[in-house]
Amino acid sequence: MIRYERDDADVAVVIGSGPGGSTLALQLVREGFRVVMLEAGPWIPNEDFVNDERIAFDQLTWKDPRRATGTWQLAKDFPGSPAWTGKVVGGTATFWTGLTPRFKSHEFEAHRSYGEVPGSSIADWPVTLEELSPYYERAERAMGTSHRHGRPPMPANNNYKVLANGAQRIGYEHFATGPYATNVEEYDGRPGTLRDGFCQQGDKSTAKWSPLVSEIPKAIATGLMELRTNAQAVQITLGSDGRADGVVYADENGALHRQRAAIVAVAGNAIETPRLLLLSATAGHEDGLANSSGQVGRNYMRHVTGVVYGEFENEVHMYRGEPMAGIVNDESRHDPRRGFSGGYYLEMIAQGLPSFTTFMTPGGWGPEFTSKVEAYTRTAGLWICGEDMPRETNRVTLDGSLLDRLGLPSPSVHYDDHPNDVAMLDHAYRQGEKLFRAVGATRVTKAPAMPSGHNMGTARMSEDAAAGVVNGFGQTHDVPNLFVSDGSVFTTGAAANPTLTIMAIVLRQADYIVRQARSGAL
Amino acid sequence: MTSDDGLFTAAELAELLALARALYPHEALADGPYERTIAKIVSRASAEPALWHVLHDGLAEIHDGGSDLHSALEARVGTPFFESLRALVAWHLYDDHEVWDFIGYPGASFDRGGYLHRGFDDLDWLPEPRVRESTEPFEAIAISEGNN
Repeated sequence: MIRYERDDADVAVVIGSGPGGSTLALQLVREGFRVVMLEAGPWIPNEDFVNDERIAFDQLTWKDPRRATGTWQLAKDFPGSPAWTGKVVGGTATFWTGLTPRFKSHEFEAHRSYGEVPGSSIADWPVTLEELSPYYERAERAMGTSHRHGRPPMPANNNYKVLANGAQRIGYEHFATGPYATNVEEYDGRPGTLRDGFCQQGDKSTAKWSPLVSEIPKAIATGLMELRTNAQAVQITLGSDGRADGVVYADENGALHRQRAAIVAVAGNAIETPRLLLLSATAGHEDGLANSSGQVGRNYMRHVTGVVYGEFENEVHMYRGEPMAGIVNDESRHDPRRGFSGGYYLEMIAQGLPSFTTFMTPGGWGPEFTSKVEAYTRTAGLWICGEDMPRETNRVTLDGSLLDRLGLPSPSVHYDDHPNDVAMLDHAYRQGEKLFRAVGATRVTKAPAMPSGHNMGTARMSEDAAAGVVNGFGQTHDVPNLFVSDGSVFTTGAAANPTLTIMAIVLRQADYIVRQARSGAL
Repeated sequence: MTSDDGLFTAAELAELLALARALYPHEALADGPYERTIAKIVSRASAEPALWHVLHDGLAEIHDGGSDLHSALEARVGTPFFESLRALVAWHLYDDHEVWDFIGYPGASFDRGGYLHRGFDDLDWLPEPRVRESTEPFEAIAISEGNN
């Protein structure tokens, strides 16, 4: 791997090695740019992943202190864990589940489609589905997602058989085992899945797409990217010309280093990205870097979610096969007759026993709880994933009373449920129960949200510099060579799992950066 | 038998074991997993003064009630004693591989070739569903008339 000097001022520094950062880095090195990627966590090769939920959680998770406040249930159930994100090469995608639906056209125009939603900061994106479609296609091909571009569908596992039959019996039509970004058969030099059931623990086989098995090794192989691991960015520095000129980061011993930069892209996930911008406050940017709009950290979204478990007389063994290769689209439409705006998906979910007992009823105990645990092998699960309403008051802020190992303030994530979120979740729970009852569930359990895997909106896109942090290409309005390259830029959350859309908007951003750099505008 | 460091008496250890069973009653499950669970909690409490304090005070106090253990626990939901003990028992008990065997959760599967040839799709009490996407049109926005 190439090594750059810290004084090399012509490199692009990409902060974060998840789907956003890795996709950007690969496009840039393919176009001849020199890239330094900073990843706060270690490189863990696939063979070192462990088929054990607790050990894997410990190995892959961002465990620095965080706080959850607000009316959301997570603040009660898991007050120190508002989100589940990765601190490892590949980012949160090392343990993502893999569904890749595209956003729908009307979801990019949420304000126009839904009208005013009181108590929300709903807005239209400065990007349309039409503009993103070619990038969606490239992202799907990069991942080799099932059901797309000639990739075969994932076969049905047991849990899917329950979900799909239930869906059909209550009149749903649009269900399938994907699109799902895991190889059914060999693709891109990676094998087909063994259906071992462990993808949220890191996929040992490499059948599941993640940057660790694709974008990162490809970018390194060009000879133009240096990946620095255990390198946690703590400040983006500005030159006297108002342009970003470097990134200060801490190594694993806490020692600080500074890498000079011509371009800086932040892709730390929607909690750490705004945190870094806020930590980078400096003269002229007193409220945080690129925060003249005051929107950095605001409009935090995490999807309307919850889990429904159905218990049956017969065996299911949900832990076998791909944990999330099943999706029901019927409720993802916008249909205000249901009493809320936006839509939601019902997605298959499977958990091992440790996670099942942690999340099925947080804080649960006693004979009813243990009778559900004893029904584990006869239990099927589905996960609700719906559009939540952006609100300016749902936000990531710095908490000076909670410091990390470097003595820096930790992120506090405040979230109050919007009435639209509550109405949607209630509807989804009822549909989930109906679905499982239709195939004979003898008992149904509704579980609240788990720490959020989908984190969005905290550096939102807007063409109006007063209303958003970045423009339609993820370029900050205040600092021309500073970009945001992750789900922080989402103007609204849509109903779909965000990873595919993060990759699509970053592919489009990469084209823009290349054009701008070559024309001398950057 | 008291714990080696003298922090818990034999009676207290027995009480902890009974409480673990009352919190997570699996009637047909042997004592082994519960004993290992309590051993882990005791070991942690011997290094964490705050935890030892909470457990010790809670054990002394719970004797005063005289009711059955489930009711005694129910009356203490929300107390530091209940919350600490419940969380620790759940964490360790459901990480015990004897409990996994008892419930039927096999754990790691990669080294056994996953479930590719071991029943990932062996459910036979429902019809085989479609796995491809429907070719029916999808109406992304419901155009509603007289919508309330």
